[in-house]
Amino acid sequence: MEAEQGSLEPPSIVTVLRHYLPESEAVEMLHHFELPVFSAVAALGLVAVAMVASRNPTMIPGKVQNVVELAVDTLDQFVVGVMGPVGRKFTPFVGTLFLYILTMNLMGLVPGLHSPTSNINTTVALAATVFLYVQYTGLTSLGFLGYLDHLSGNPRPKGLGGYLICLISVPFNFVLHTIGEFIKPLSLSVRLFGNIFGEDVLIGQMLALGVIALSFMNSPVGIPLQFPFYLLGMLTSLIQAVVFSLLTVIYLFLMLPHHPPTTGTPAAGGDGHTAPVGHGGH
Amino acid sequence: MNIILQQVLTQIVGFLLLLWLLKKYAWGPLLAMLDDRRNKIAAELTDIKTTKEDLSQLRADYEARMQEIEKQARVKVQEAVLEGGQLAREITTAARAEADQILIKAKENIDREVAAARIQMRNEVASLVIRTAEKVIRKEMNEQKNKELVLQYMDELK
Repeated sequence: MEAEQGSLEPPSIVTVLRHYLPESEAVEMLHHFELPVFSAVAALGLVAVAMVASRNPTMIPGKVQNVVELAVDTLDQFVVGVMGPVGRKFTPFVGTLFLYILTMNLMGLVPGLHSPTSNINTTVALAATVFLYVQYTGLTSLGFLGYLDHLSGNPRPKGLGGYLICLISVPFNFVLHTIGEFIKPLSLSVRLFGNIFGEDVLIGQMLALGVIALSFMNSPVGIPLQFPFYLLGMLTSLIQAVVFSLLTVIYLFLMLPHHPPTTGTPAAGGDGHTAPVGHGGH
Repeated sequence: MNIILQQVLTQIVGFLLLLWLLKKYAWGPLLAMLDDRRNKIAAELTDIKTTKEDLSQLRADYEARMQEIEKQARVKVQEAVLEGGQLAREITTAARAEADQILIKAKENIDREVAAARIQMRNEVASLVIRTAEKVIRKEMNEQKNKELVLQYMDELK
Protein backbone atom coordinates (compact mmCIF):
# COMPACT_ATOMS: atom_id res chain seq x y z
CA MET A 1 0.00 0.00 0.00
CA GLU A 2 2.71 2.46 0.99
CA ALA A 3 4.75 1.61 -2.10
CA GLU A 4 1.71 2.19 -4.28
CA GLN A 5 0.99 5.53 -2.62
CA GLY A 6 4.65 6.48 -2.93
CA SER A 7 4.49 6.06 -6.65
CA LEU A 8 1.27 8.06 -7.02
CA GLU A 9 1.97 10.98 -4.71
CA PRO A 10 4.80 13.51 -5.08
CA PRO A 11 8.01 12.04 -3.64
CA SER A 12 8.93 13.12 -0.13
CA ILE A 13 12.46 13.79 1.12
CA VAL A 14 12.47 10.29 2.65
CA THR A 15 11.57 8.72 -0.70
CA VAL A 16 14.37 10.67 -2.40
CA LEU A 17 16.91 9.68 0.28
CA ARG A 18 15.84 6.06 -0.02
CA HIS A 19 16.29 6.25 -3.78
CA TYR A 20 19.84 7.63 -3.52
CA LEU A 21 20.88 5.76 -0.34
CA PRO A 22 19.19 2.37 -0.63
CA GLU A 23 21.71 0.70 1.65
CA SER A 24 21.46 3.18 4.55
CA GLU A 25 19.82 1.70 7.62
CA ALA A 26 19.01 5.14 9.00
CA VAL A 27 17.15 6.04 5.82
CA GLU A 28 15.39 2.70 5.89
CA MET A 29 14.30 3.31 9.48
CA LEU A 30 13.18 6.82 8.53
CA HIS A 31 11.16 5.31 5.70
CA HIS A 32 9.63 2.79 8.07
CA PHE A 33 8.57 5.58 10.44
CA GLU A 34 7.80 8.10 7.69
CA LEU A 35 4.22 8.64 8.77
CA PRO A 36 4.92 9.25 12.49
CA VAL A 37 7.93 11.37 11.57
CA PHE A 38 5.93 13.73 9.37
CA SER A 39 3.12 13.79 11.96
CA ALA A 40 5.72 14.68 14.58
CA VAL A 41 7.06 17.46 12.33
CA ALA A 42 3.55 18.94 12.12
CA ALA A 43 3.03 18.57 15.88
CA LEU A 44 6.43 20.02 16.76
CA GLY A 45 5.83 22.95 14.42
CA LEU A 46 2.54 23.71 16.15
CA VAL A 47 4.08 23.33 19.61
CA ALA A 48 7.00 25.60 18.65
CA VAL A 49 4.67 28.32 17.39
CA ALA A 50 2.49 27.97 20.51
CA MET A 51 5.52 28.21 22.80
CA VAL A 52 6.87 31.27 21.00
CA ALA A 53 3.44 32.93 21.13
CA SER A 54 2.81 32.18 24.80
CA ARG A 55 6.36 32.61 26.11
CA ASN A 56 5.73 36.17 27.33
CA PRO A 57 2.05 36.81 26.73
CA THR A 58 1.27 40.50 26.98
CA MET A 59 -1.92 42.53 26.95
CA ILE A 60 -0.66 44.30 23.83
CA PRO A 61 0.33 41.31 21.68
CA GLY A 62 3.34 41.03 19.38
CA LYS A 63 3.13 39.70 15.82
CA VAL A 64 3.33 35.97 16.62
CA GLN A 65 1.06 36.27 19.66
CA ASN A 66 -1.40 38.25 17.56
CA VAL A 67 -1.59 35.60 14.84
CA VAL A 68 -1.89 32.74 17.33
CA GLU A 69 -4.47 34.64 19.38
CA LEU A 70 -6.46 35.23 16.20
CA ALA A 71 -6.44 31.49 15.49
CA VAL A 72 -7.29 30.61 19.09
CA ASP A 73 -10.09 33.15 19.28
CA THR A 74 -11.52 32.17 15.88
CA LEU A 75 -11.58 28.49 16.85
CA ASP A 76 -13.08 29.32 20.24
CA GLN A 77 -15.82 31.37 18.57
CA PHE A 78 -16.35 28.51 16.10
CA VAL A 79 -16.88 25.92 18.86
CA VAL A 80 -18.83 28.21 21.20
CA GLY A 81 -20.92 29.41 18.25
CA VAL A 82 -22.11 25.85 17.58
CA MET A 83 -22.33 24.49 21.14
CA GLY A 84 -23.03 27.61 23.17
CA PRO A 85 -21.05 28.61 26.30
CA VAL A 86 -20.58 24.94 27.25
CA GLY A 87 -18.41 24.58 24.15
CA ARG A 88 -15.52 26.44 25.77
CA LYS A 89 -14.27 23.28 27.50
CA PHE A 90 -14.14 21.49 24.11
CA THR A 91 -12.24 24.30 22.37
CA PRO A 92 -8.74 22.91 23.10
CA PHE A 93 -9.63 19.46 21.74
CA VAL A 94 -11.43 20.67 18.62
CA GLY A 95 -8.95 23.51 18.04
CA THR A 96 -5.96 21.20 18.30
CA LEU A 97 -7.65 18.73 15.98
CA PHE A 98 -8.31 21.46 13.42
CA LEU A 99 -4.79 22.91 13.50
CA TYR A 100 -3.17 19.47 13.42
CA ILE A 101 -5.26 18.27 10.47
CA LEU A 102 -4.81 21.55 8.57
CA THR A 103 -1.03 21.46 9.06
CA MET A 104 -0.80 17.82 8.00
CA ASN A 105 -3.05 18.45 4.98
CA LEU A 106 -0.93 21.41 3.86
CA MET A 107 2.32 19.49 4.32
CA GLY A 108 1.51 17.54 1.16
CA LEU A 109 1.76 20.77 -0.84
CA VAL A 110 5.31 21.50 0.37
CA PRO A 111 7.92 19.85 -1.87
CA GLY A 112 9.85 17.21 0.06
CA LEU A 113 7.16 16.78 2.71
CA HIS A 114 4.32 14.32 2.84
CA SER A 115 0.72 14.64 4.07
CA PRO A 116 0.25 12.21 6.96
CA THR A 117 -3.50 12.59 6.41
CA SER A 118 -3.17 10.97 2.98
CA ASN A 119 -2.57 7.76 4.91
CA ILE A 120 -5.59 5.93 6.32
CA ASN A 121 -3.75 5.09 9.55
CA THR A 122 -3.53 8.77 10.51
CA THR A 123 -7.16 9.53 9.75
CA VAL A 124 -8.33 6.36 11.52
CA ALA A 125 -6.28 7.37 14.55
CA LEU A 126 -7.83 10.83 14.59
CA ALA A 127 -11.35 9.51 14.05
CA ALA A 128 -10.83 6.89 16.79
CA THR A 129 -9.69 9.63 19.16
CA VAL A 130 -12.82 11.62 18.34
CA PHE A 131 -15.00 8.53 18.78
CA LEU A 132 -13.48 7.74 22.19
CA TYR A 133 -13.72 11.34 23.33
CA VAL A 134 -17.36 11.64 22.21
CA GLN A 135 -18.30 8.42 24.06
CA TYR A 136 -16.34 9.59 27.15
CA THR A 137 -18.19 12.94 27.03
CA GLY A 138 -21.51 11.10 26.74
CA LEU A 139 -20.75 8.81 29.66
CA THR A 140 -19.52 11.63 31.93
CA SER A 141 -22.25 14.12 31.07
CA LEU A 142 -25.24 11.74 30.89
CA GLY A 143 -24.15 8.96 33.28
CA PHE A 144 -24.12 5.29 32.30
CA LEU A 145 -27.90 4.89 32.33
CA GLY A 146 -28.41 8.23 30.64
CA TYR A 147 -25.90 7.16 27.99
CA LEU A 148 -27.85 3.94 27.35
CA ASP A 149 -31.07 5.94 27.39
CA HIS A 150 -29.53 8.31 24.84
CA LEU A 151 -28.66 5.37 22.59
CA SER A 152 -32.19 4.00 23.01
CA GLY A 153 -33.80 7.06 21.51
CA ASN A 154 -34.56 9.56 24.26
CA PRO A 155 -36.94 11.45 24.32
CA ARG A 156 -39.81 9.10 23.71
CA PRO A 157 -43.54 9.75 23.31
CA LYS A 158 -45.61 9.90 26.51
CA GLY A 159 -48.72 7.96 27.48
CA LEU A 160 -49.86 4.43 26.75
CA GLY A 161 -49.38 4.83 23.02
CA GLY A 162 -45.88 6.10 23.60
CA TYR A 163 -45.14 3.15 25.89
CA LEU A 164 -46.28 0.70 23.21
CA ILE A 165 -44.20 2.48 20.59
CA CYS A 166 -41.18 2.32 22.94
CA LEU A 167 -41.51 -1.44 23.27
CA ILE A 168 -40.90 -1.74 19.57
CA SER A 169 -38.65 1.27 18.92
CA VAL A 170 -36.17 1.08 21.82
CA PRO A 171 -34.37 -2.11 20.78
CA PHE A 172 -34.43 -0.97 17.20
CA ASN A 173 -33.13 2.51 18.13
CA PHE A 174 -30.44 1.08 20.37
CA VAL A 175 -29.00 -1.07 17.60
CA LEU A 176 -29.36 1.69 15.02
CA HIS A 177 -27.71 4.35 17.20
CA THR A 178 -24.93 2.03 18.29
CA ILE A 179 -24.14 1.28 14.65
CA GLY A 180 -24.43 5.01 13.96
CA GLU A 181 -21.83 5.80 16.60
CA PHE A 182 -19.38 3.42 14.90
CA ILE A 183 -20.22 4.73 11.45
CA LYS A 184 -19.28 8.27 12.49
CA PRO A 185 -15.51 7.65 12.90
CA LEU A 186 -15.56 5.53 9.76
CA SER A 187 -17.05 8.35 7.71
CA LEU A 188 -14.72 10.90 9.33
CA SER A 189 -11.58 8.90 8.57
CA VAL A 190 -12.49 7.80 5.05
CA ARG A 191 -13.63 11.28 4.02
CA LEU A 192 -10.43 12.95 5.19
CA PHE A 193 -8.17 10.23 3.81
CA GLY A 194 -9.98 10.11 0.46
CA ASN A 195 -9.90 13.86 -0.11
CA ILE A 196 -6.29 14.42 0.89
CA PHE A 197 -5.00 11.28 -0.76
CA GLY A 198 -6.91 12.19 -3.94
CA GLU A 199 -5.53 15.72 -3.84
CA ASP A 200 -1.94 14.49 -3.36
CA VAL A 201 -2.31 11.88 -6.09
CA LEU A 202 -3.66 14.53 -8.44
CA ILE A 203 -0.68 16.78 -7.72
CA GLY A 204 1.72 13.84 -8.08
CA GLN A 205 0.24 12.82 -11.42
CA MET A 206 0.25 16.38 -12.75
CA LEU A 207 3.87 16.67 -11.64
CA ALA A 208 4.76 13.48 -13.49
CA LEU A 209 2.82 14.62 -16.56
CA GLY A 210 4.67 17.94 -16.56
CA VAL A 211 8.03 16.15 -16.45
CA ILE A 212 7.02 13.69 -19.17
CA ALA A 213 5.78 16.56 -21.38
CA LEU A 214 9.33 17.94 -21.69
CA SER A 215 11.21 14.66 -21.45
CA PHE A 216 11.82 14.55 -25.24
CA MET A 217 14.03 17.66 -24.75
CA ASN A 218 15.93 16.05 -21.84
CA SER A 219 14.88 19.13 -19.81
CA PRO A 220 15.81 18.94 -16.12
CA VAL A 221 12.63 20.94 -15.29
CA GLY A 222 9.16 19.97 -16.44
CA ILE A 223 6.05 22.09 -17.01
CA PRO A 224 4.54 22.94 -13.60
CA LEU A 225 1.16 21.48 -14.45
CA GLN A 226 0.56 20.75 -10.79
CA PHE A 227 0.48 24.46 -9.88
CA PRO A 228 -3.31 25.06 -10.29
CA PHE A 229 -3.90 22.00 -8.14
CA TYR A 230 -1.79 23.51 -5.35
CA LEU A 231 -4.43 26.24 -5.09
CA LEU A 232 -7.17 23.62 -5.16
CA GLY A 233 -5.19 21.62 -2.59
CA MET A 234 -5.00 24.60 -0.24
CA LEU A 235 -8.76 24.99 -0.44
CA THR A 236 -9.39 21.27 0.02
CA SER A 237 -7.00 21.11 2.97
CA LEU A 238 -8.84 23.91 4.72
CA ILE A 239 -12.29 22.57 3.90
CA GLN A 240 -11.45 19.06 5.08
CA ALA A 241 -10.00 20.37 8.35
CA VAL A 242 -13.15 22.46 8.89
CA VAL A 243 -15.46 19.55 8.03
CA PHE A 244 -13.65 17.14 10.36
CA SER A 245 -13.68 19.69 13.22
CA LEU A 246 -17.29 20.76 12.61
CA LEU A 247 -18.51 17.17 12.62
CA THR A 248 -16.55 16.55 15.81
CA VAL A 249 -18.26 19.55 17.42
CA ILE A 250 -21.65 18.31 16.28
CA TYR A 251 -21.01 14.79 17.58
CA LEU A 252 -19.94 16.22 20.94
CA PHE A 253 -22.95 18.52 21.05
CA LEU A 254 -25.36 15.67 20.29
CA MET A 255 -23.87 13.66 23.14
CA LEU A 256 -24.53 16.41 25.71
CA PRO A 257 -27.78 16.54 27.71
CA HIS A 258 -30.39 18.30 25.64
CA HIS A 259 -32.94 20.78 26.87
CA PRO A 260 -36.24 21.47 25.12
CA PRO A 261 -35.91 24.50 22.86
CA THR A 262 -37.51 27.71 23.99
CA THR A 263 -40.44 28.72 21.79
CA GLY A 264 -39.46 30.40 18.58
CA THR A 265 -35.74 30.57 19.22
CA PRO A 266 -33.29 28.95 16.81
CA ALA A 267 -30.47 26.63 17.93
CA ALA A 268 -27.15 28.05 19.10
CA GLY A 269 -25.50 26.63 16.01
CA GLY A 270 -27.10 29.27 13.87
CA ASP A 271 -27.60 26.74 11.06
CA GLY A 272 -31.28 27.50 10.76
CA HIS A 273 -32.39 24.29 12.47
CA THR A 274 -34.06 24.09 15.82
CA ALA A 275 -32.02 22.86 18.77
CA PRO A 276 -31.76 19.08 18.72
CA VAL A 277 -33.81 17.30 21.36
CA GLY A 278 -32.83 13.79 22.29
CA HIS A 279 -31.70 12.08 19.11
CA GLY A 280 -32.83 14.75 16.74
CA GLY A 281 -29.43 14.76 15.11
CA HIS A 282 -29.21 11.02 14.42
CA MET B 1 -5.82 0.38 2.58
CA ASN B 2 -3.93 -1.52 5.23
CA ILE B 3 -4.72 -0.37 8.72
CA ILE B 4 -1.68 -0.96 10.90
CA LEU B 5 -2.70 -0.95 14.54
CA GLN B 6 0.74 0.14 15.76
CA GLN B 7 0.67 3.19 13.50
CA VAL B 8 -2.86 4.05 14.58
CA LEU B 9 -1.95 3.82 18.26
CA THR B 10 1.24 5.80 17.71
CA GLN B 11 -0.76 8.50 15.97
CA ILE B 12 -3.30 8.56 18.81
CA VAL B 13 -0.51 8.90 21.38
CA GLY B 14 1.11 11.60 19.25
CA PHE B 15 -2.14 13.52 19.01
CA LEU B 16 -2.80 13.26 22.74
CA LEU B 17 0.72 14.51 23.40
CA LEU B 18 0.14 17.41 21.02
CA LEU B 19 -3.19 18.14 22.71
CA TRP B 20 -1.51 18.21 26.12
CA LEU B 21 1.31 20.46 24.94
CA LEU B 22 -0.96 22.87 23.09
CA LYS B 23 -3.33 22.97 26.06
CA LYS B 24 -0.38 23.87 28.25
CA TYR B 25 1.27 26.39 25.92
CA ALA B 26 -1.51 27.75 23.71
CA TRP B 27 -5.07 27.09 24.70
CA GLY B 28 -4.66 27.59 28.45
CA PRO B 29 -2.60 30.81 28.58
CA LEU B 30 -3.95 32.37 25.40
CA LEU B 31 -7.63 31.73 26.13
CA ALA B 32 -7.05 33.09 29.64
CA MET B 33 -5.30 36.09 28.12
CA LEU B 34 -8.15 36.64 25.67
CA ASP B 35 -10.68 36.40 28.50
CA ASP B 36 -8.61 38.79 30.62
CA ARG B 37 -8.37 41.23 27.75
CA ARG B 38 -12.09 40.90 27.00
CA ASN B 39 -12.95 41.51 30.67
CA LYS B 40 -10.48 44.37 30.89
CA ILE B 41 -11.89 46.03 27.78
CA ALA B 42 -15.44 45.54 29.08
CA ALA B 43 -14.44 46.99 32.47
CA GLU B 44 -12.66 49.91 30.82
CA LEU B 45 -15.63 50.59 28.58
CA THR B 46 -17.87 50.60 31.65
CA ASP B 47 -15.39 52.94 33.37
CA ILE B 48 -15.35 55.20 30.34
CA LYS B 49 -19.15 55.24 30.28
CA THR B 50 -19.28 56.04 34.01
CA THR B 51 -16.60 58.70 33.61
CA LYS B 52 -18.49 60.20 30.67
CA GLU B 53 -21.67 60.32 32.73
CA ASP B 54 -19.75 61.86 35.66
CA LEU B 55 -18.15 64.32 33.29
CA SER B 56 -21.45 65.39 31.76
CA GLN B 57 -22.90 65.70 35.27
CA LEU B 58 -19.86 67.73 36.31
CA ARG B 59 -20.21 69.88 33.22
CA ALA B 60 -23.89 70.50 33.94
CA ASP B 61 -22.98 71.41 37.55
CA TYR B 62 -20.19 73.66 36.31
CA GLU B 63 -22.44 75.39 33.83
CA ALA B 64 -25.15 75.86 36.47
CA ARG B 65 -22.55 77.25 38.87
CA MET B 66 -21.15 79.52 36.20
CA GLN B 67 -24.64 80.83 35.49
CA GLU B 68 -25.18 81.36 39.22
CA ILE B 69 -21.84 83.14 39.51
CA GLU B 70 -22.64 85.32 36.49
CA LYS B 71 -26.02 86.12 37.97
CA GLN B 72 -24.45 87.00 41.32
CA ALA B 73 -21.80 89.06 39.56
CA ARG B 74 -24.46 90.96 37.63
CA VAL B 75 -26.39 91.64 40.87
CA LYS B 76 -23.21 92.74 42.61
CA VAL B 77 -22.26 95.02 39.75
CA GLN B 78 -25.71 96.54 39.82
CA GLU B 79 -25.48 96.93 43.60
CA ALA B 80 -22.02 98.46 43.23
CA VAL B 81 -23.31 100.86 40.59
CA LEU B 82 -26.19 101.83 42.82
CA GLU B 83 -23.90 102.13 45.83
CA GLY B 84 -21.44 104.14 43.79
CA GLY B 85 -24.20 106.46 42.65
CA GLN B 86 -25.43 106.83 46.19
CA LEU B 87 -21.91 107.45 47.41
CA ALA B 88 -21.30 109.97 44.67
CA ARG B 89 -24.49 111.75 45.58
CA GLU B 90 -23.55 111.73 49.26
CA ILE B 91 -20.07 112.99 48.48
CA THR B 92 -21.50 115.67 46.24
CA THR B 93 -23.99 116.72 48.90
CA ALA B 94 -21.32 116.71 51.61
CA ALA B 95 -18.94 118.61 49.38
CA ARG B 96 -21.61 121.05 48.52
CA ALA B 97 -22.51 121.51 52.21
CA GLU B 98 -18.87 121.87 53.12
CA ALA B 99 -18.38 124.36 50.32
CA ASP B 100 -21.39 126.28 51.52
CA GLN B 101 -20.01 126.22 55.03
CA ILE B 102 -16.64 127.38 53.79
CA LEU B 103 -18.36 130.07 51.76
CA ILE B 104 -20.42 131.23 54.69
CA LYS B 105 -17.39 131.17 56.95
CA ALA B 106 -15.39 133.02 54.37
CA LYS B 107 -18.15 135.58 54.01
CA GLU B 108 -18.31 135.99 57.74
CA ASN B 109 -14.56 136.36 57.90
CA ILE B 110 -14.63 138.82 55.07
CA ASP B 111 -17.42 140.75 56.71
CA ARG B 112 -15.61 140.66 60.02
CA GLU B 113 -12.38 141.72 58.44
CA VAL B 114 -14.17 144.37 56.40
CA ALA B 115 -15.81 145.66 59.56
CA ALA B 116 -12.53 145.57 61.43
CA ALA B 117 -10.80 147.24 58.52
CA ARG B 118 -13.50 149.84 58.39
CA ILE B 119 -13.18 150.49 62.08
CA GLN B 120 -9.44 150.61 61.80
CA MET B 121 -9.65 152.75 58.72
CA ARG B 122 -12.17 154.99 60.38
CA ASN B 123 -9.94 155.30 63.39
CA GLU B 124 -6.90 155.92 61.25
CA VAL B 125 -8.76 158.38 59.04
CA ALA B 126 -10.09 160.04 62.12
CA SER B 127 -6.67 160.24 63.61
CA LEU B 128 -5.26 161.43 60.32
CA VAL B 129 -7.96 163.98 59.91
CA ILE B 130 -7.56 165.07 63.42
CA ARG B 131 -3.85 165.37 63.06
CA THR B 132 -4.24 167.20 59.78
CA ALA B 133 -7.00 169.36 61.02
CA GLU B 134 -5.16 169.97 64.22
CA LYS B 135 -2.26 171.23 62.28
CA VAL B 136 -4.52 173.38 60.20
CA ILE B 137 -6.78 174.83 62.82
CA ARG B 138 -4.75 174.34 66.00
CA LYS B 139 -5.24 177.77 67.06
CA GLU B 140 -8.98 178.13 66.63
CA MET B 141 -10.48 174.98 68.14
CA ASN B 142 -10.05 172.91 71.18
CA GLU B 143 -9.67 169.26 71.21
CA GLN B 144 -13.19 168.42 72.23
CA LYS B 145 -14.79 170.36 69.52
CA ASN B 146 -12.49 169.00 66.97
CA LYS B 147 -13.39 165.44 67.84
CA GLU B 148 -17.08 166.20 67.57
CA LEU B 149 -16.59 167.73 64.21
CA VAL B 150 -14.61 164.78 63.00
CA LEU B 151 -17.15 162.27 64.22
CA GLN B 152 -19.87 164.23 62.57
CA TYR B 153 -17.88 164.17 59.44
CA MET B 154 -17.36 160.47 59.70
CA ASP B 155 -21.02 159.85 60.17
CA GLU B 156 -21.69 161.77 57.09
CA LEU B 157 -19.20 159.64 55.28
CA LYS B 158 -21.09 156.44 56.04
